[in-house]
Amino acid sequence: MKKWLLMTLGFVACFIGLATTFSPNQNVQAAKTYTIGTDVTYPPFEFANKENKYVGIDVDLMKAVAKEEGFKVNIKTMGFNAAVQAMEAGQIDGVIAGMMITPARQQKFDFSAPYYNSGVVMAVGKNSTIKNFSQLKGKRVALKTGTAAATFANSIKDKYGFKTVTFDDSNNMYEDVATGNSVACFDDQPVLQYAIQHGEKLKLATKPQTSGAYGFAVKKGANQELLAKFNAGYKKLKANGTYQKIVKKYVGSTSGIPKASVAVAATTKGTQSAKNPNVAGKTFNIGTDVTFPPFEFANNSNEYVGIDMDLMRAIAKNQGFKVQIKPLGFNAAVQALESGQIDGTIAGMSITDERKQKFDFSDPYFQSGVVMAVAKESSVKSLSQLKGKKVAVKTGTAGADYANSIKDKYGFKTVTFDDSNNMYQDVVTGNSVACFEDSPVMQYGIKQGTKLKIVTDPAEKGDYGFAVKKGVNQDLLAAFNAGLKNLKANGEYNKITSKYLGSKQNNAESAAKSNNADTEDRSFFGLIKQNKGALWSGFKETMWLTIVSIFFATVFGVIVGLLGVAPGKFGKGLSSTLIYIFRGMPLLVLALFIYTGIPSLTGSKIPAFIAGVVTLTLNEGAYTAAFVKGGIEAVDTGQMEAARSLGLPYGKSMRKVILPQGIKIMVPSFINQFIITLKDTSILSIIGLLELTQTGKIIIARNLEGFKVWTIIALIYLIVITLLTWLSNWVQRRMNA
Amino acid sequence: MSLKVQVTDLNKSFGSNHVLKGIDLDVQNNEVVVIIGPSGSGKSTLLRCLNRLETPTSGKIVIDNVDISDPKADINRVRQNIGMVFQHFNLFNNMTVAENIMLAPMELKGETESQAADQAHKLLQQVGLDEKFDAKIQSLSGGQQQRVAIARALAMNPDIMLFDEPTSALDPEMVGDVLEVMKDLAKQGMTMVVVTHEMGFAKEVADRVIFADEGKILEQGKPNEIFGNPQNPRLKDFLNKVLNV
Repeated sequence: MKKWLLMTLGFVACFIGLATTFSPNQNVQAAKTYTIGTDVTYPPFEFANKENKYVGIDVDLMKAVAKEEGFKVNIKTMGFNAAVQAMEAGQIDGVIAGMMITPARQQKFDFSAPYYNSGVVMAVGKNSTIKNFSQLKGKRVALKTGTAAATFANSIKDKYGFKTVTFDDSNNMYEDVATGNSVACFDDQPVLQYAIQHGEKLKLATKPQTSGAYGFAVKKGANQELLAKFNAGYKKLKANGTYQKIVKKYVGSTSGIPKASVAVAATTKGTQSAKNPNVAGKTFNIGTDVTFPPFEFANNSNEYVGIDMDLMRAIAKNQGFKVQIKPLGFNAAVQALESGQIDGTIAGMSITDERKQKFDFSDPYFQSGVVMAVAKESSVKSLSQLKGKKVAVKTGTAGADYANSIKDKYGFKTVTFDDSNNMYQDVVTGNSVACFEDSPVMQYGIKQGTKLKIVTDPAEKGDYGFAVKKGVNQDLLAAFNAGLKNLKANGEYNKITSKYLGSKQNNAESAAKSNNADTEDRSFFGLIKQNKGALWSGFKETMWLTIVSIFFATVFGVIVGLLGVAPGKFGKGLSSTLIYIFRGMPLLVLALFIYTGIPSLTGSKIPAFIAGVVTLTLNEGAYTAAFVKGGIEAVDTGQMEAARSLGLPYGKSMRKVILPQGIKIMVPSFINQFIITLKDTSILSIIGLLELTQTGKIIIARNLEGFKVWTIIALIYLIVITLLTWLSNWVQRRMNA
Repeated sequence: MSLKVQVTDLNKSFGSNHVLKGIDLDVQNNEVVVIIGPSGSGKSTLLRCLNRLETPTSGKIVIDNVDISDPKADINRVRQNIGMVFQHFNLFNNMTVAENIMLAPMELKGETESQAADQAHKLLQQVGLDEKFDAKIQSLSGGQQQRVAIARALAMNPDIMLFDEPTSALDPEMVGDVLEVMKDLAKQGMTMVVVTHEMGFAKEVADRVIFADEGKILEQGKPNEIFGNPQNPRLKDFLNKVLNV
């Protein structure tokens, strides 16, 4: 009896230990991290791209705002409803999820300034003849839960006499229309447009029916500083064109951006337009950043040096013109260029479509990207080796954004530093195993003697270009291109870059090669190969959840089951009550209750993984308890009487005589319950756990290959369950031998 | 002769069913008491009260000067001194013959495996089944199982043995072997309380026969008095039915 008690206590201790390990560590770093919830599948606002990295207008905007305003965001893709509920429960700080600002929502949430105009449209199958609402009479229409489009459709369904069917994500809704189960669906215009652009076999049947706008939301009265930061950052991003760039990247046009605030600094007439096609002998004003080593920075003698500076001067020399370098700061330089105050800008500026609207760019002169660096003697070579390790990042850098975006996938932790040197030192001393940094910055650091080495190819690549105002200073641009070509040919370009970056530098030539591997292989095996990383990590999450949950559910179930057969009314009552409650509650409800309900009551957050394990422990444990009880009761009462008549105490009789026989009866039920637990982990996708099912949803949201991806996911489940069944048969055979 | 068991005004109810109605019973040391009576008379319940497999509703049961009806009594200790044999044998199905016998001595007396095994061999020899030492329970016939059950009950060296219809579940040809073992025990001077329908056994072995019906002891005496000169009309009726089949 004592042993049992000890074991029980041990398990409880384990559980508590686990809970504390997973509990959120608040305010560890000075730079505040906000947890922002979003939808899993709402392209073009949020979706996982080919690399299974979350992107989209919402995600990019949020990250850009965070960078601009100097805070950090932890984006949680949990599904629209789950995100909204989690925010209400205080589990997360804000939601950006293509959420329409509506009066009903404004009762509960405080919204930012609108950041995207939208409207509800109706889409029908490609070959459908339906053009207006009156043709929907008696038909079925697909909707997505909780969207403004669903609200709109429900408001007109009596009038037009159609029925609705509701889905949890857009893809399933589209499929329902594409397959003809439903004749039409309603969704926000940009979302539908994006889906159609990306191959959904639908077409828009109506013009936008309602006008509304999306906003970023926080819980009413809470996180006001975050809201203020968002508004401020959003305004700035719109003013400097970053936001337009983001939107354009996804939807091709910027028409959805609200015009409420002034977008960009007013353009004044160019005052210094070059009239002379011959640049020789002329002096040009070139704007640049204040400090962006190794591209531009002030050296010991306070002279501006760096790749940009040296390159610009070399080209000027090559082409016979003069330059006046003006370190204005990046944003100021861009604006000055637009207004014609300066002739050109060279500032480690990436060439983007958005900027191309306003500027003419030279040929790319440098390719940048985020690289991973490790200590010189380290054996870490790839991201997958980071699992469970600590990785150093610098606040507000592209490297930090990139690291945070992949850290869940590769299972590492990040530790944040305020300057590069501390970050490097953390890796050199071995506290962290790696750090992420822009490739030229990192190369420069290594060149400067930092004892690190770069082990990955640049990710998130971008080309830097020299810019002039659109249509202006074309002779300068031509001279720059010609000079660049000459410098590359005569080796001076390499000299400049290697001066700052060491021997192995990136140049724009290598960029051109790597950019063409874009076409996805959509075959069954192609999909597996492409997504094997995501599938593998989803699979691991599922297995981990299953194993931990089975463990605790079994412990919980056996204890409750034994309580149910032990003498004493209290134990029996408690046992029956626990079984009654947790077996009687749908798993989905229990999961949501624990994840969003408990924090509302207690005010403290529960990590999703813990909530998931607790949910499964209680639910599967209740079933386990029921069959443990049944198994013990199935042992003939004479066995207990005989044992007791010999003078054996209750506990000993139970352990030596009853349990061995009862367990034999229970084994098939246990195996069955393990299989059910494995399958039930899929339900936990509702609270945003990135397990196998959720992984499937995310992959499909990107590539819209529902049938194939669900087949892959189903096969993975089946394979595991087959293995589990074999194992169980083996165990049973051994027990009966 | 000293008093081994003393039952005073024992009552037992299962819900509204009053099964034992004020039983008084003394058993002397080395005495063999056989309880007879029709089904449902409460004989088995009376027997099961003696080692508290049933908790009495009221009344007092004193065994070897220990009041076992007192909830504070160390019943596990008292039970080690009382062997019990069940109608359905109740051998532990998850153990071999030897393990059944060795369990209690090893768990309760701290005997080593070899000590317990030696004793198990002796007990199995006593009941004529030593060759079944390592056999599985499921491989034994009913009669063999019951003899193993007796050996198991003897393993703690009890000085009282309770038999609850030990031959009722057996095929007729098996009954003899079991009764032989019980007769041997009686000859060795074991105090025995036996509930049975084996009138032959009662006549031959019992020091005293008790006739119980409807929860009361209606008549008791030496076997020749009970079988030769029954007084109570219900006893006469009962004997008529069982003896003149």
